[in-house]
Amino acid sequence: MTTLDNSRAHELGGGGHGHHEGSYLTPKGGFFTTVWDWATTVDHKKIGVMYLFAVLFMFFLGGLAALAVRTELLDPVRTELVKAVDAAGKPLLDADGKQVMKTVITGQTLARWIPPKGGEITSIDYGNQLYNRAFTLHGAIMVFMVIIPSIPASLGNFFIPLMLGAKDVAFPRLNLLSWYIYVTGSIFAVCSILLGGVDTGWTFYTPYSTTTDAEHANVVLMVLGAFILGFSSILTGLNFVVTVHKLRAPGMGWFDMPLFIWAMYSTSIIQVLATPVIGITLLLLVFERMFKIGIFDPALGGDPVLYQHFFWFYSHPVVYVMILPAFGVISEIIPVHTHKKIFGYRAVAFASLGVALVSFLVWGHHMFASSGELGATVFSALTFLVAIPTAVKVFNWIATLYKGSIALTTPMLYALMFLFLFSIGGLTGLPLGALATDLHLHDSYFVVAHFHYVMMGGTIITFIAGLHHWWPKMFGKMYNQFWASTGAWTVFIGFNLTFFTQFFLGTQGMPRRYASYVSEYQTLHIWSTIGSYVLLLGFLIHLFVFIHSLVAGRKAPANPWGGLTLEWEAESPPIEHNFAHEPIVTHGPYDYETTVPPHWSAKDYPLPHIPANAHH
Amino acid sequence: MLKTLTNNWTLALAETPQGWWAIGWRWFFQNFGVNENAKLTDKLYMEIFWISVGWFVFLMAIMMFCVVKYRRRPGVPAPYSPSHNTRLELIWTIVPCFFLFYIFLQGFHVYIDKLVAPGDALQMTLTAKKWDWTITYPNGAASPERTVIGADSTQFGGENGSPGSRPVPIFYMPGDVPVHINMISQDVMHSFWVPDFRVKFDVFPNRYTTYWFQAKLQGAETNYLRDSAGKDIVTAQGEKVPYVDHFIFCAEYCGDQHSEMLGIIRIVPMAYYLAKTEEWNIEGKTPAEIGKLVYQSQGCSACHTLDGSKGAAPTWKDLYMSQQPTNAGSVLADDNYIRESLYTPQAKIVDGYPSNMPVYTTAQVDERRLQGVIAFMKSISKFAPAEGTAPAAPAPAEPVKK
Repeated sequence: MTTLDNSRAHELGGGGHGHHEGSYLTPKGGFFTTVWDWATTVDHKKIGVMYLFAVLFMFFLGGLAALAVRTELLDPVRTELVKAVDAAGKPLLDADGKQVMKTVITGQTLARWIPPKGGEITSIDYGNQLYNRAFTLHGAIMVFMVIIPSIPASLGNFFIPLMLGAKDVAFPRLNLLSWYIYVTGSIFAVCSILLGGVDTGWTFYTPYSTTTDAEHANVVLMVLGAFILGFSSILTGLNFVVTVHKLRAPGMGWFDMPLFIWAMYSTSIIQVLATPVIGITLLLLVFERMFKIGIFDPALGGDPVLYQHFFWFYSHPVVYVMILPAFGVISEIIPVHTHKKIFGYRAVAFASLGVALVSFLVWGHHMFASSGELGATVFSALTFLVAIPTAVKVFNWIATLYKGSIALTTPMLYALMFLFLFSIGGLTGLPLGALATDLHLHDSYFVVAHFHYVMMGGTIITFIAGLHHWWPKMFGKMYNQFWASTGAWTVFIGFNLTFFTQFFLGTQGMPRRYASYVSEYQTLHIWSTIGSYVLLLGFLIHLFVFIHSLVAGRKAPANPWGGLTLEWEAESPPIEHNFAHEPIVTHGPYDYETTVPPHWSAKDYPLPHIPANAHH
Repeated sequence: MLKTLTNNWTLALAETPQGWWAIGWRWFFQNFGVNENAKLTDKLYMEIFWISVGWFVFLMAIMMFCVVKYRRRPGVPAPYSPSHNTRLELIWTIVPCFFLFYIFLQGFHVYIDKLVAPGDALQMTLTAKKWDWTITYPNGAASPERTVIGADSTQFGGENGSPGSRPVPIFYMPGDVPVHINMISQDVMHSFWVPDFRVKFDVFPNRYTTYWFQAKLQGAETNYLRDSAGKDIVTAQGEKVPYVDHFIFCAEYCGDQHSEMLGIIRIVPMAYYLAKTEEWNIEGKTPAEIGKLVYQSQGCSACHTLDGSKGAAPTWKDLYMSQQPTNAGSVLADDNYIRESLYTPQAKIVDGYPSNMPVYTTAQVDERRLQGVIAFMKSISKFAPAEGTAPAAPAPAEPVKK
């Protein structure tokens, strides 16, 4: 396996600086000492790695629930009248000698896997309840425990101080506290699952979530879990904002910061401002459920639409908490693997802030089918406004490719796939933002496909891209490019098969959150489910590539891709205090035309000729 | 097991749309032009689709061109190019704005049309509950007809039981006439969606929302109502009855049988609609006839049988005035027990049955209809006491002539 820079960079890089101290991964002693060291660490890198594994574990759980959902939908539920037989297999006849008929339920896969007490499935309710739990768990886990913390808490924690040239985040102990809060919240959620799960949907819409009599404790546990996770978000966001303001290396002005930092900064502002709202809302939901205080439940004089306003006032900005870090990662990967200055740095940076700002004003577009016409019209207009900075970013990324030196490494491959998938995700937002078409598509599979293209095709794909981009830096090991790229293509094909079919299901009228459906929809559902199995295969390939890398991977050079941002000046993996000396910023983060990347030699990186009349 | 998407959708109405935007509409929709608003919605959708395809192909073509043309060559640096161009950046910020503004305006325009019903629309009310719909017609009648949605059907309705799941209500609606429905929920939120009409609105437990549509019947002349034996239904005038079915789906998650909360809107000629609603009108009917209509229209038939066979709830045959073993001891199924079972059904549960009888309110089943149910149960119970008949009214006395 030779890929582009790696081999050469390997000869050049690594061991450039003197080793004053060991890598942060070097064990501090025996097994228990090491575990204790990790459990009490205030090192942002270790916390980032712990977040990474926690997030990947939750991704595995959420993925299992998704596969359960897709498998159940292979076949619609039917009740069929069949001839009853006795134990010997002979037709069962009644006293008059007539054939006895009995009703059987077909198409409930989950109910066959997890049979009810007593063994026999006597009504469709049991299988439907399993399905409703599966999609709720999938949504709640993926949103609250995977996508929201994925890039900020793992990659952000690890790389924000490194990219700023700092030793750590501004409040290292607070950082460790955030991690423990995250674990606590996740344990609440897992307990809720172990006790039988909840069936409210991840949005916990009232009055359903406050009045369903089943599993009182589960709903409260799950909602409290999400409430607790919110504190983790707030504290991490606060930490990052202060870090960006106070800990930039000497010489690094605001517009010398890598765009990943800009994106994380915008994300953190949203987290700090919006998360308290969901905290209050979820707490009110728990109070409503336990003490019947009558805010949301109409039977007690409350208003269920009020809950939706509260919920989306947080949860819409949070959509951008999920996607802005992805924008940041893409803004890093494309220049590094293209060796090209990003096109329109300031436009990309301000677009992040613009998206963050407008994101607070569009929550009402989740309620076109329930709110009044004036509100719907205003929210529709504002929704189209948010499309503009997002489109500008895509144009800038594609313009960066022009006259670049494009290396199709796994992270770059994923970045290009992101541009493909996210463009589809963004463009399919248009018929949802337009009022007339939304009244048809709202709460249908079209919405499901749209937000998977944005959330999974955007954030998760980018998370994996970033993981491949920074994996050599985080763990000091290279991975097999061929198999990683094979995994990427498998994920890409599986993803499109799973979700592109769902656009057609949606326009044809398939509502979301349906355990069963009219048989007209079956063909597309089967294709979608096959796609989800291909997706599973792709992720398994990645899992084996990563395990192989950790066990038998070649040692990574300090700067395998030729990046210019400060984290590539550090060792792979970085030493405990990140840099042997405090770095001084002498070039911009993307000045590929004038700067030889750290740990590379001028012989291997000839600089281009710059015309005399060029201006930067 | 595999079924194509087209076998029993509303093809009778398929009208072919014209225009550049109409290319490929078949990928997304099963029919076109159920009404004018649906046409406009589909047109807007297809316009957005082709605008999006244009942008997407444009961007991806540039991307692929760059990836091929500017792929890395060892030892060759990326050539210099400006990393900023104010004019280009302004152009690509402003040009999309025009597209977005057009889409917003069109969306608003067609949306208003979905909101505002014509003043001469027929007024109906809809109540939603877990997991059923009831529509009350202007004359106070409700539809007692149900069918099981299945594959082997004239259009959507299959034979009772196999295959399919729960029977869903059929609502007869007149064709080519605006209909305005006032909607309310009795428990959690639901959402009333008829995909063929391209509109849904949420149904709340605490305030009314409205829904209006005008569905075409023209073009459906080849599709006639048939009875369960497969014979054409013929009106008193000797005419066959053309019809078109449209699915109703609940689009707001509401619990265990959310995916079974379906219904069918059946568009028929106005004369047939009037005849049907008059047939179901409780005015001028005997209490037992009213009770039978309530039994059919309020979903009782899903669990209670009339022939003595065991359903999910006690059969009504020979139930009235019988002794029933319950969790509160043996109970005489008299008028008061029936009343209690309707309004507070959890009070006493008959042994051997789950406690899944829904709570009915006096708004759904009023005193007159409840009396009807009791009369209907009396009429099919051998324990009902014999009823006396009032003696024929005496003939008016002959005026005495003097």
